[in-house]
Amino acid sequence: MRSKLGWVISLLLAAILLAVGNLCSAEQKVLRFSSWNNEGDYPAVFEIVAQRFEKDYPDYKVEIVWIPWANYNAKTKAAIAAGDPYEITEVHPGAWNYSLAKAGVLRPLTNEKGFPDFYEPIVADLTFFGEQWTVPMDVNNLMVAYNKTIFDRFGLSIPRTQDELVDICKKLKKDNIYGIALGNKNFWTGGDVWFQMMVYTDPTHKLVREADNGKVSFKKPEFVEAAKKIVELVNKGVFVPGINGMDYYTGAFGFFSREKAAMFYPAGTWIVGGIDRGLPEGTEWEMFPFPAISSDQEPTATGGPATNWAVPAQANYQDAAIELLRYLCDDEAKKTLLKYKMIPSSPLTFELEIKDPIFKAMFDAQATAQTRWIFHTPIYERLTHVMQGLIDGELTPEQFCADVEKVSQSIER
Amino acid sequence: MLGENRGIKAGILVFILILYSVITLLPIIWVISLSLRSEREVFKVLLFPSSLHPENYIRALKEFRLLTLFKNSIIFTVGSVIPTLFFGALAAYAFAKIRFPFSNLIFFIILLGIMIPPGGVLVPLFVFMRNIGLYNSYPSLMLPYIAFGLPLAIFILRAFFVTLPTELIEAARIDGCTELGIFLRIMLPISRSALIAVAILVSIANWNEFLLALVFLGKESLQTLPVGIAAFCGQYVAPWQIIAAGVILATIPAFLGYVALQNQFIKGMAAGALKR
Amino acid sequence: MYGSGKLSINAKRQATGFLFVLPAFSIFLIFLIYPIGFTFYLSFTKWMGFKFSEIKFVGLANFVNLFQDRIFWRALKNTIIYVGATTLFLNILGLSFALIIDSKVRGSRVCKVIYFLPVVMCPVVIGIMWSRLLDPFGFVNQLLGRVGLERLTHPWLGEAKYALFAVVMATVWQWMAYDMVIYYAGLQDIPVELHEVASLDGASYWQRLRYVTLPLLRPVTTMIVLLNLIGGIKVFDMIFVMTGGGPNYHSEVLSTYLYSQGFTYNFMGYASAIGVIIVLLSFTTAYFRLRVSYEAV
Repeated sequence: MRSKLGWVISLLLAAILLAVGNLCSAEQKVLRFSSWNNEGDYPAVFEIVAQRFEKDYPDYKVEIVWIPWANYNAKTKAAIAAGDPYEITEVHPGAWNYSLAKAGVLRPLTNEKGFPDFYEPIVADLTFFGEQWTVPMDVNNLMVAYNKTIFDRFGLSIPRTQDELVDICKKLKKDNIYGIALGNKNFWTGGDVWFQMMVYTDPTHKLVREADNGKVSFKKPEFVEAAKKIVELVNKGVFVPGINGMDYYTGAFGFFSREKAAMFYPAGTWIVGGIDRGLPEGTEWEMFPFPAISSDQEPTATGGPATNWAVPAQANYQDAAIELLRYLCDDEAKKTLLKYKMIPSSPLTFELEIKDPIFKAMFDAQATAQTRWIFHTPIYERLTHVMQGLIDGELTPEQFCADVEKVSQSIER
Repeated sequence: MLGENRGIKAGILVFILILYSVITLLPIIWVISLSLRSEREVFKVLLFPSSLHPENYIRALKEFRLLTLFKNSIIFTVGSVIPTLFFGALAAYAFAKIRFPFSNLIFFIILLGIMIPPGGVLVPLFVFMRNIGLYNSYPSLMLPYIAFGLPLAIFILRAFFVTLPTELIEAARIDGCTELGIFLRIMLPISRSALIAVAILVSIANWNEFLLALVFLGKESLQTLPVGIAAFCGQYVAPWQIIAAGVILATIPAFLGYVALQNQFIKGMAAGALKR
Repeated sequence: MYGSGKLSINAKRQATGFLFVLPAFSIFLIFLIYPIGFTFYLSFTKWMGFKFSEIKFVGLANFVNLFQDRIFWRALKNTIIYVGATTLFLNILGLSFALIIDSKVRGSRVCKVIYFLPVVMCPVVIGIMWSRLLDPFGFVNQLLGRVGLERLTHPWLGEAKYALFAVVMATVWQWMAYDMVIYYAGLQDIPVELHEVASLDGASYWQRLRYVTLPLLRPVTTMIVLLNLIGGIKVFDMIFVMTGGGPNYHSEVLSTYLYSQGFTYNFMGYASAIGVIIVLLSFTTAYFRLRVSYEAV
């Protein structure tokens, strides 16, 4: 009898839950805003923008949905496939953006009015098939963060060439301090080293995109040269040993904040607050662009959109969503971003003196920052994976380039 | 059982037991230590932080909405285990004691279910759920859990029912009992231990399940423990000391549940769930 | 009269049999068979996973590409190594500890409970925890350094040789007690009289183990090994969190490869083909495992 009752109860429970579940309907129109940037000051920024929007449009409610980065693709993809995408979806610039655009699931935003003029190179990174598919909120560039207190102690100055960098690391090693903490377990940091090196081996800054589009081969000498340079740096002890097993934050960043390494790469706006809080009290730090290969080159950072927003083609309330995007990019938003030390994605139309030297360095580097994106996912994935093999010596630079080229040739464009 | 030489042999065994206890507990103690640290010390200290910060637990409770996560995990686990047990036992009994055509074939097909990787069916299953209107509600995760749990449940319960004496059943049939009656009044009460054993096995699997819970539920108010905790790992940074506190809080009830039920579990597995 | 009565009783019983199986089978059919069938179908197509109207049939192309894909073969190899290693360690350790605890030396009861703690923790959490512990400058290496074993320190998850090994160890750490408790339950089932008779006959502990305990544990072993094997083939959470398949694919297994192909590359057709391989691999493993145990008995 007990089990019969239990059976009845559980069936009833299931039925009730089913009914309740399906009765859910919102009276308010909900704009779901999905993002993975739940760290740093991003949540605060999003909240402020959302509140401003809700004040002006009271019949809409903005719901911020956090999805962990590692599963972000799976979740949004499933939502799109099921015909119920998030009204505003954060899209990772580069390959993910490209594949979504190619699949035709995003609404083109090229002709939407009311947006500021974004930086040209940024827009170039977001335009495929003749349309712009996303709107960037802020931008980033990647530089080397360095512990000024340690540098001063050793009497070191900022390196402008990689030879100078090697020298610095040798001097630091004498006191058991490592050079650059790089966490390559998550793959993307190695990719960024590659992009950074390409800036110097390819002064035209065009080869990366052309190889990405299949117009030139990844086996060209400039690519091989970049790979060789990376191996050189690794072998000359510039990086902390074991970078393939260290992850970006708890590994490499932890290292830097414990002052076991004097430098940290790549550092962008997202990590500035963390560095402030992580280094011991009173330690000074600043940033410099990754050193060039030869002394007649100007050290140049890589950069691109930081957060990037799309409206799926099948989303509800698209006009409202686009309006919310305007709120993400207007002057008010820019002031908020600057307050939290993030770089807006379009030039400032108002006067603002930037006092913070670190922030100023990043802001200025924006003008010349080069791309750090590959649009075709298989190439990017293969590149970052075999980069680990290149770093630990399993692959020669030639093999590394050949492997990436093989993948590049095998995909359909 | 060992009877002889309790001295030295026993000593060695106790040593092994202690050694493995250390191996088991050390990482967990480290997590506890992590959960009591300040943000600055997260990477710096081996095991003993310089100051204790139990307020991390309060933050974890609030920021993780741990109570909501708990509630959901319990609802999903219990809500899927009960139907799994009931329908699984029903089917297992039929496979074990009732001869009907194709029973072996159907049993075999159900057995194949154990081998299906969740990642492989993720997208079709999700789209299907959405199309029948079961997205973002409790049934949307419960039904797949039941489906994934049934093969194991049926496999074990059938093995158990096979060992039960048929005379009992025959006697009941002669007495005029219906099959359903036999099942409810005779089979279920006898198989209490086996049912508990299966319940624990399936509960462990569902409680810790991550991928389906992540994708199938959109609303924050429906998240389960694994999803809620993982959501705290940002792309670059994560408040590890808070996460550690959340992890400890999340593990305690499950552990207590096991402690309470472990004897039943062992009895149930031994009672014949392990016979062929 | 008697004959037709018996017939109708039989028919009624068969119908009841079907009815009992029906609910379970229906749920199973709808929520498992249908999606896996669709996955099988997808393995013959090319699809990005967004719009159903864009599914393109390509026949066996995915499988042909799969067999030429060196990463696939590496993932397959890693899966087999992972499954073999974890099953081996889990069963040896599980059985050993079950025997120790069964002997009821001091501390057995406490350990029986303590060892189970990792089992009730989420694989994702355990993966994250072990990633932190195995950082090049994380707990394990720090500990080794403190006790003077510096030369044994390694970037565990970053060195090709050790990445898979590290994941195996983390898995064994979590699940050992699962096997142990089930073996322990099986041991309870062996009648004490058999042991007593054997030792009266002059058998030593090891002889009793070999000739009494192990043979009687065979059904238990079959089941656990099967569960371990199939669970190992499906494993995803822990490896994904600990290494992401790296470095350079040295810890990539079939499930993680499926996930990245399907959700990062958007090659749903290709990913489905990998899913098919996983199912076939499980199926073959199960078949041979059961065949071995049936024949031995």
